[in-house]
Amino acid sequence: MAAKKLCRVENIDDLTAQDVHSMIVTNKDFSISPIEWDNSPIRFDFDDSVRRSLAGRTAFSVADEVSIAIALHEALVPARESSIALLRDSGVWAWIGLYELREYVLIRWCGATQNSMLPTTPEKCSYFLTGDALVRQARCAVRRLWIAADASHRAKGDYNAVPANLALTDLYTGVFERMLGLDAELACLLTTELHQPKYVEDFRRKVLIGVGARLSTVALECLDSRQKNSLIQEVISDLAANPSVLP
Amino acid sequence: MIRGYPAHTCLGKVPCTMSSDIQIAGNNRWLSREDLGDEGHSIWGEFVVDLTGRDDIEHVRLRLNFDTPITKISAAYDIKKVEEYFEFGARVWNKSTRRRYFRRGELTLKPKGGGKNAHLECTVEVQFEVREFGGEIEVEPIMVTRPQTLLDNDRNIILGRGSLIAWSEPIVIMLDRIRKGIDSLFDIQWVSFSKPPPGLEPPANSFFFVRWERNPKLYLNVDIENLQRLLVSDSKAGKSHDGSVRRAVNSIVAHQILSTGLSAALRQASQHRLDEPDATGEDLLVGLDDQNRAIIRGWIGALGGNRALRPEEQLLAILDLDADEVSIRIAEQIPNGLQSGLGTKKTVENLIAVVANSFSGKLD
Repeated sequence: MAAKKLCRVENIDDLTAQDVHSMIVTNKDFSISPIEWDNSPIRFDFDDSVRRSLAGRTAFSVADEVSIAIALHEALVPARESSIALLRDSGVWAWIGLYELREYVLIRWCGATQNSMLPTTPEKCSYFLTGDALVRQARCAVRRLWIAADASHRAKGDYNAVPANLALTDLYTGVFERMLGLDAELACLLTTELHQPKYVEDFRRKVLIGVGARLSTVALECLDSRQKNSLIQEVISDLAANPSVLP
Repeated sequence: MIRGYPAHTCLGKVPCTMSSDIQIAGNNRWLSREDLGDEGHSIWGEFVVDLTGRDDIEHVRLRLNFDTPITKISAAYDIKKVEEYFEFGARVWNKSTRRRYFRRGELTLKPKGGGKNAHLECTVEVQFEVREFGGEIEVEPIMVTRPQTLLDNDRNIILGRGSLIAWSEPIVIMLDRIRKGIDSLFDIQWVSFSKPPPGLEPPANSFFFVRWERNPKLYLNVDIENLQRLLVSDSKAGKSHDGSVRRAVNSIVAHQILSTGLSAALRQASQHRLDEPDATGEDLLVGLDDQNRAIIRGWIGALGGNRALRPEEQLLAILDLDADEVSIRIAEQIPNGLQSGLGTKKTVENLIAVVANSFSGKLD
């Protein structure tokens, strides 16, 4: 079987969620073109065993999302090795969402079912779109998975932190939609600590606020892993000792 | 980036000088602002390096320096150990590729032994391969503490590693500028229309003036009272007074310029089509002047048609229409398309709401 080439949806930035919805509903094809880097196509080999294991699902668990995230991250290694800037192309993420992982996006994020593989509302098709802003990056259904896997890979060289990164939606958005989420090491330390059941949502929120406040006077970029972990632990113990310190 | 004023900072915000140069594809030589002449003015600003639309630039390099007397820190720290206590560098943020890191520079006490007139010389150089980044790169010069813990004798506090002692205004390298409002269309320059700079002849009574060139420039008249304050204000668009009026003024300018700009671009494309009937959409687009190509790429959707097609395909589809239909498109579709693209209805509604509010709802 010939290797698959990474592609992009043309002009995706000109399309709104409503436009995407109407094209899905009317079964129209998007304009697709292969990505080239230094005049060569880029491979996109998504693990077929993962694809097969997810076919026909009516819902997706965190464990399913972890396996998709890892397979997606591995499939995009050639693109990442060519240039990380390729992965900011909204057309690439639209192609992955609309063609490679459409069923996942429609069922997990757009309210579709196996009986009617259609988004329930036009607005939900925004999960196929992305942009440069951190919020828009993290709210693209498939880019969200890649961000979770990439943070783990950058921080530790493995995928051990992916389950923690994807475990809780509030934690994911609180970490990866903020500037602190750009530091993979800090992001994974935070999710690994805070996804534990002993922490409730309000406490997690306060810890993230507290860490953000500390980082307004400290250059995160100059800290090593141990110092980052100490910073998190200090905030947690401060909050445990003075729960009313933050609203 | 740095909000407030940390209690432990000794130096706070320090002025920084920036020098920068670029490397163009196929040429290993580094080129400075002086080397590029007039072209350099559209790239380098005080805190900005704008490479928008410059696909030919492969590398950009910044050298940042700050020089500060040690008087402000001498009460807090042993001056002879400043090189051991502090380090200088640049932190680099690039949201679109999700990266943030520190590039270490050099910090030197001069003269070595300290003394009354001693000062700190700080310098860092950062270099970027443009194609490895996207959007905007922020580069912020900072001086931070180096040891795990450091006592500030003056304030009697212990600082942890990485505490910010000094910083400078961040430099922004714009690779493809994320622009908003009217800024998304033009490079904007504020000038006095009554005393214009040499070579510029704006009509004295107007409030804006456009130069339709490679990077179209919009000149706004600084003589008009409150116009600059209004248009550069940061107030949110929403229903705030300034925001609503700003959007309305922007909208007027944008409608006028885009209407004529799109017509001019279509006329040039039509002429090329007549000259070369077999030209593809891509050929036609490439053959346009830079400014016309830019406006077609960005705004051809305002002419109706299928927005899922590439701009060159949309252009070809329009040029395939007969001359009367093209005229109708220009006369009817452009106003409609621009209203939709610029959000004119909402702008007007907000303005009406603000006006109604200031008259307590008693509009005649």
